[in-house]
Amino acid sequence: MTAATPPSAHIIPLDGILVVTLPPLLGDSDAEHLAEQVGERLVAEQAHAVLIDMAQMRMIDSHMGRVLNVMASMIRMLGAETMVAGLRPEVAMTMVELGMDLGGIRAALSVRHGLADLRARAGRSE
Amino acid sequence: MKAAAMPFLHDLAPASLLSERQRLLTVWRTYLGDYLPMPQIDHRIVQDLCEGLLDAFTEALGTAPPVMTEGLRDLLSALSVEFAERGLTPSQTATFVFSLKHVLNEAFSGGSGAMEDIHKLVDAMGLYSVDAFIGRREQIIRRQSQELVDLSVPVVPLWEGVLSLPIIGTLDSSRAQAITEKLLFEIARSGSRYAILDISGVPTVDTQTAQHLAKTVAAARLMGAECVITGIRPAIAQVMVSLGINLSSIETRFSLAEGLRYCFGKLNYTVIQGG
Amino acid sequence: MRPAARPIRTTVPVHGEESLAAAHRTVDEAGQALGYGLVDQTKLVTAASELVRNIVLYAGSGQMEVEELSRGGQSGLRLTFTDQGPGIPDVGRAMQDGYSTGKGMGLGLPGARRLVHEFSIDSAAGSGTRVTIVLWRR
Ligand SMILES: Nc1ncnc2c1ncn2[C@@H]1O[C@H](COP(=O)(O)OP(=O)(O)OP(=O)(O)O)[C@@H](O)[C@H]1O
Ligand SMILES: [Mg+2]
Repeated sequence: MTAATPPSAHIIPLDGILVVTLPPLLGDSDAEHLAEQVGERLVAEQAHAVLIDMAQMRMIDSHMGRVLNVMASMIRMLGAETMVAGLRPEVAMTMVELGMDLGGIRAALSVRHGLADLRARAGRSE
Repeated sequence: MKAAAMPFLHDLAPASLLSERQRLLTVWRTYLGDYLPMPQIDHRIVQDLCEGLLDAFTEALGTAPPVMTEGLRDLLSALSVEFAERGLTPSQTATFVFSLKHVLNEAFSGGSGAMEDIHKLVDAMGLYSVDAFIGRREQIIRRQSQELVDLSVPVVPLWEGVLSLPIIGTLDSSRAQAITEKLLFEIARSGSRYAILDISGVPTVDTQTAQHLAKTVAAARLMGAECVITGIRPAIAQVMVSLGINLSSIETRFSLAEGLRYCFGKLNYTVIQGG
Repeated sequence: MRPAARPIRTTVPVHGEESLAAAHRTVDEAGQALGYGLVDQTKLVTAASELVRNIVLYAGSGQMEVEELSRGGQSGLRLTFTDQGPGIPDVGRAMQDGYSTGKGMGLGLPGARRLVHEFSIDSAAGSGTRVTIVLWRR
């Protein structure tokens, strides 16, 4: 991998759910644009939920935590739900030690678990 | 006296040690056989250590006053590592180094003022070897206690999607850390959504233990798994309340069976009694 | 055990957000060379990220030094973050959870302290800030 541009987030719509895959480390400028990007896609795809795939993320510091919380608040305002998936054990332990939580954001063990969860709930509320 | 002894020391000492090398090594071997038997160590290794030490020592005597050389330090470190790993004691290690004095007494019988400097160097060597020995021994102990900690953390799958972690004994902080790690990695590996932490085998719960449990539960929650704590005995519950420890945001059940029933309920399993 | 290589010792200049990635990479590599477990490695990199970001946000520029330590048969890394910025007038308050003069969560300093074994901070209004952290290999 070259040092030129760090990989940024990928967004894939999957029947009503926006799956956002984050890279191992998100550069600051990408982090800044993330919420905006996700918001635009959410509206365009009329998605009811955003599933953030964190399985590759190697570190979440207080800055990244704030980016996620701000994004979740925005998603809530747009009438959709946020779920994080696949947070690694070492990252989860470090976040707790740092004193951070993800507010009301729900979590799933993996994207597969998360999709199943979100679909089951969407089915129930219909 | 001292001034006159100096040329003797760095001119004659190395020379006489060199010319008598073989005889001195034999003297040393016999002495060790009589006073410091070390059945744990292969005699060829002892022989190598003696030769290496005598040669490095001879070289160190080439300066006035003689000082510890890099070569001596390396040899003493290697010797201490060897002794520590074979289960010998620090005093055996030091005795081994000090036995060099016996050899030197043989070499310079008749005595001289320079012996004082030589003794000082050997004493310094002895102390250095003890330090190196203890450092190595600490490393070994740390590794072994880590292995014990790992062994004592059993994460048991109870049902598909449900892990259990019976915690037995006191939760000191390094053990608590190991337990958390093991549980979280097992949750991720197996994709289990529920984990039952049974603390009926924990004698007392203090603020720190409770805090650690709470952190483990919080980390599991971030990963998408829910923990249930079971086996809180009434006496422990009482202590926790009086310490102001609040586990109200955590699911707790009296027994492991109740904990499992809770998880089954969440997983939409129904337990039916066979007829 | 790590083969007897030269002890780790490097300095990374910090002069803006671009420095975060470089600092991160340096700590990551040093930690791997030292042989931390995955959890400790993540804790150290995260603590470094907090402290470098504080330099970027509040002082503009400074540096991070990475040094290998060995004490009594134990080895570890010492990271020193230094800047000549405005300094912190009330260090006691800055070390409390939730205290921020910016729009942060106020977790960087107290959180970094919880992530490592040793933490010290030296700062006063007008005389810059130096934060030192040590994480030993278990
Ligand atoms: N290097 C520094 N120079 C000057 N002031 C600093 C420095 N580092 C921290 N501070 C001050 O200490 C306060 C607390 O820092 P801390 O890192 O704990 O929280 P934060 O940066 O405000 O938020 P967060 O780190 O959670 O995003 C900061 O708001 C800032 O006022
Ligand atoms: Mg900060």
